[in-house]
Amino acid sequence: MPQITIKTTVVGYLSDVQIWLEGRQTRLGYDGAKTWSTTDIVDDERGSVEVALHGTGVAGTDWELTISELHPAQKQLYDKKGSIKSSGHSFVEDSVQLK
Amino acid sequence: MKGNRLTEFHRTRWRNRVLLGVAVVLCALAAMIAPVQAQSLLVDAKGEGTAFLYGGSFAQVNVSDSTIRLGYLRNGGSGKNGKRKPFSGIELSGKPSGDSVLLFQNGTPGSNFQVRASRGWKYWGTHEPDVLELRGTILLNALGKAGIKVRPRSRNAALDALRKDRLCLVDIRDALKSAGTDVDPDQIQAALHKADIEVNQTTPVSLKPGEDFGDYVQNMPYDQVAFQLGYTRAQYQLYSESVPFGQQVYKRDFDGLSGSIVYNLLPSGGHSLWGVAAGLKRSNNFDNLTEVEVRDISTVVDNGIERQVVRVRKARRGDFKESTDFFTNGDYVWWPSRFDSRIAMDIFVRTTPGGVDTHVRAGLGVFLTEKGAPTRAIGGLSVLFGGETKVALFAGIPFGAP
Repeated sequence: MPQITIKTTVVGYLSDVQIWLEGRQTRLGYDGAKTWSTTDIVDDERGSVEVALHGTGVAGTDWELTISELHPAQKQLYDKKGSIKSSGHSFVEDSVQLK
Repeated sequence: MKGNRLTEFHRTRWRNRVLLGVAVVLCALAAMIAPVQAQSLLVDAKGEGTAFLYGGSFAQVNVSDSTIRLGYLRNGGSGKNGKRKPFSGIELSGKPSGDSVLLFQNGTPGSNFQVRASRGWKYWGTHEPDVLELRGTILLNALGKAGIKVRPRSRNAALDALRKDRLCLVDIRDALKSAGTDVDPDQIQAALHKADIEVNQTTPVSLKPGEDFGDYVQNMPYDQVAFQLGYTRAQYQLYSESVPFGQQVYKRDFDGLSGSIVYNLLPSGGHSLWGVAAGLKRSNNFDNLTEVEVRDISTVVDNGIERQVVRVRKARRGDFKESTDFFTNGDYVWWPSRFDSRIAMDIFVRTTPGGVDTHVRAGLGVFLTEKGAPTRAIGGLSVLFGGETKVALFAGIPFGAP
C-alpha cells in the first residue's frame, strides 16, 4: 500500500489546538511560540486525506493550517487561513488531495 | 532677493527630504518590529497577574517604575488519548539600580529581582472534546439555530447518540427522538442544509469542506491550572531616628519565597478569561511605611564664599516587618468584540487578609493588543486602587517569535 509522509502545521496564538487525520487525533508538537506541528505517515490509496482542525482561543485570533508532503515528494498540499470565532472556537474539516 | 528665495527653497526641500528619510527609517524599523511581538502583559502596577496567555517570549517595561520583565511560556502541545504535556513558564523581572537594571550583579541576583516559574495542565476541570463530540455539538447547535431545540437536560443523551463516525439523516432523527425532540426528517434536512451541513438517508453527514464551523461549537469551556513558585530579592532604604546618627539611613535586604496555585477559565464565548490565584508568600510592610526625604547638608567656606553640598536620599520611616501571608488574586479579562479584540480590559482584585501587609486592592488595566493575536499586548495602562494608588504604563518589547 503506497504511503506518504505529510507535515501538518498550525500557526497562531491559540490556547489549544487539536488535529485529526482520517479521524485519528495526532500528537502535536509546539515550538513555544505560535507554531504547532505533527508529522504523520498516511495511506495514499484514496488519493486524499481527511483533516479536521479544532482551535480554542480568544475570539479574533488568526490561525493558518498548512499541510505539506515531505516524502517522497516535497510540496505544499493544503493551506487554509481563519480566525477564532466569537464562540472561542474554530472547527474545520476538509479533504486534502495528495496528488 | 531672488537668491535668498532660492536658498530658502533648497533648504525647505532639503529639510523635507531629511524628514522623509527619517519617516522611511522609522517605517522600516516599525515594519521590522511588527512581525515579532510581545505577549502576555496583562499585569497590574506591581507585576501581578493570573492570566496565562500563550505566545512564547516577551519583554515588558513598566514605564512608571522602570521595572523590566522577561518571560517565556511554553505551551505543552496536544497529545493522544487525552494525555497532554504540561505547559511551563519562567519570568524574570528587575528594577533599576543606578543607571542600569541589574538582574544579576557579580553572579548574584541584583538588588531588586524576581523570578517565577510555573507548571500547569490544560483541561483540568473541563472536558477535552473529541472530533465526534465536536461534530455532534455542531449538529445540535445548527439545528437549534434553525429552531429545532433539544432540551438542555436531554442534550447529553442526544450528543451520546450522535457520537458516530458516519452519521446519516436516520441516525440524527433517532438521536433527537431519544432525547425527546421528535421532528420530521425533512425539517432536519432543511435546517442542516441552511447551516452548510449536507445530510440525507444514506450519505454520511458532510460539513461544507473548508468552512469554519466554530460559531456552532458552543458550551465547551476551556480551563487550565498551574503551580507557581517565586523568589523575590529586594533591597530597601530605611530611616530610623532611634539608632546612632551615622546609621539612621540604612539598607535592608529582603528575600521572599512564594507558592501559589493559579486557575484560568475561558468560558463559553471567546471574549473573556477568568483567572484566580491563591497561595502563600513572604511579604513585608515597606509599601505601608512613610516615604521621607533625608537631606545631609555640608557647608564649606572658602574666601568668604559659603558652599552647601546637599546629599538627598529617599527612604521609608517606620517599623519594617516581615511575615508569611495567605493571598488571593483575581482577574477578569474582557476583549470587547466592538474593537475586534484589539483592546483587552483587565479588572482585578488583590487581597492579603492577614499579616504585615494586610490589604484589599482592586484596579483596572486597559491594553492594546496585536491584530490577529489578542493575547499579545503591545502596551497598556493599569491603575491599582487601595492604599497608595499606583498607575503603571506598560510597553511591550517585541522579540522571539518570527
